[in-house]
Amino acid sequence: MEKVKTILIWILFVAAIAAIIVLFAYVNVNTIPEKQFARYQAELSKTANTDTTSLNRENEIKALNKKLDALNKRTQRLTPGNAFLIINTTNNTFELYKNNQIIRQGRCSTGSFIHLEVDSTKSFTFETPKGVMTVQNKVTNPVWTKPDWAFIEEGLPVPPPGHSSRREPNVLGDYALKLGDGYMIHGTLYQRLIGSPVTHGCVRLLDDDLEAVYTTLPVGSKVFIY
Amino acid sequence: MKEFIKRYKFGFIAFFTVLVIMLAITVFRYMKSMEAVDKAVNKKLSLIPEAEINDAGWNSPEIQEKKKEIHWLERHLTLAKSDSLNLGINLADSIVQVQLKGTVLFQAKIQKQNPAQFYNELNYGTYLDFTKIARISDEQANILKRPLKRIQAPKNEDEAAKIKHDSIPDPLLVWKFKLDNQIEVVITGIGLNKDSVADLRFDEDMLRYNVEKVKQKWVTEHYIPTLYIWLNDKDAKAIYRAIPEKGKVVFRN
Repeated sequence: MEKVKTILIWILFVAAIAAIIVLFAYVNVNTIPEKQFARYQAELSKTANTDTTSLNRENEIKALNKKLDALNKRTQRLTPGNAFLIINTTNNTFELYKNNQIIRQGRCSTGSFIHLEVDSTKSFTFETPKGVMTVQNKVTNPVWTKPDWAFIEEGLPVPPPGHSSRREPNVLGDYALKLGDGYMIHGTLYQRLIGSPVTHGCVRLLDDDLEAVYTTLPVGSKVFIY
Repeated sequence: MKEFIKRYKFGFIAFFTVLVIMLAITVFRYMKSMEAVDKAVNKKLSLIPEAEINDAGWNSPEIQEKKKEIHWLERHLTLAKSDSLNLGINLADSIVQVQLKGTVLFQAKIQKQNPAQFYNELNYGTYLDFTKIARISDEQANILKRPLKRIQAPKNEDEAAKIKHDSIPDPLLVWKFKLDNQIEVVITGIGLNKDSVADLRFDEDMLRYNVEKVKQKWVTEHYIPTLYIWLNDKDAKAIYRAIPEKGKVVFRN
């Protein structure tokens, strides 16, 4: 009995020591950073002037309201008033806007981020560029002019420019919107892959979405890609 | 009692030794930490004109709110002149947004932030400093900004057919960046559990971050306030990949 009591007391000592260590560790790890931030914020909130009697409150508010109105107008003018498209390359989604309202949203496919290395001097990166682009041209029943990488990635010899094997109809869907530098918004035969990052840099849409985008966006519309 | 103390002398000695050591360490770290805060405060205040610190209008809540909105819009207009995507962190509305040329492309709701009240009470001068357009000076993340998959061009059609596209690991995002106005931001992605419900681990994450900090620097020499933000992982990744390296960030509170 006495032996059990002794063991229990020693266990109590060990538990008390462990509790002290855990308590102080918690204070060091969590409480000190909290206190640091509280002190920092409190010091930066101090001001020597708490007197507002000298303030012509009404006039100041009037002036601020005027400024605010002007800024709001300028800010609103920045968003395109007509139709525009936003592409999210991480989640592979799109939003089509008209008159500052989303009129259609859904899945799309963007660049696969594959870096195809041909040799030490030549490589291709299949990435959809981020930023703002403009619809430069719209085409119905587009024909794909296959670039060099389309042959290289299939292990085929690259034909000379303008060669008939480069022309491939019926693979880009019913419409294409050209964004410049070879990038397009177009359809695909591989509809089940829409929503995945599988393209060579272009934006692929499902047939219905492509038609909506094609009819809504006139030439000159902005396409924001992030 | 005396007999008891005598019998368990080593137990008491061990207990009080640990207590004194832990207390000494904690007091030392606390003093050093506060010293670092004071240094950071003095450095910050030395850069801000006194007239701004003591702006009388700032004491009126109505004027303060209008001035905050004016500065937020002014920063947006300035950023709209740039061609790059930038990040807006609106703590007043709990929103993180990606914007380009003045158009908001993406908004994500802040699910949780720590400290819960980050810079909500500042004098006018330090508020201006906090909300000025800042640039990311140093950043780290556990996933790549551009998740490039390198493959060698196949030599023939047979080789092309054998190419496997390995998937890239996709852990929950942890994106840490320091801004040139001396604020550190940590954005953490929130995943879904097996029932497709948000798997919230705020306390666990905070403990991990705080332990990491103590491990990195046992004693704080240079204090930088850190804002922790939790977003849905998909949103967090979209924002992380949208913002370029050394990107610009603007706050609103």
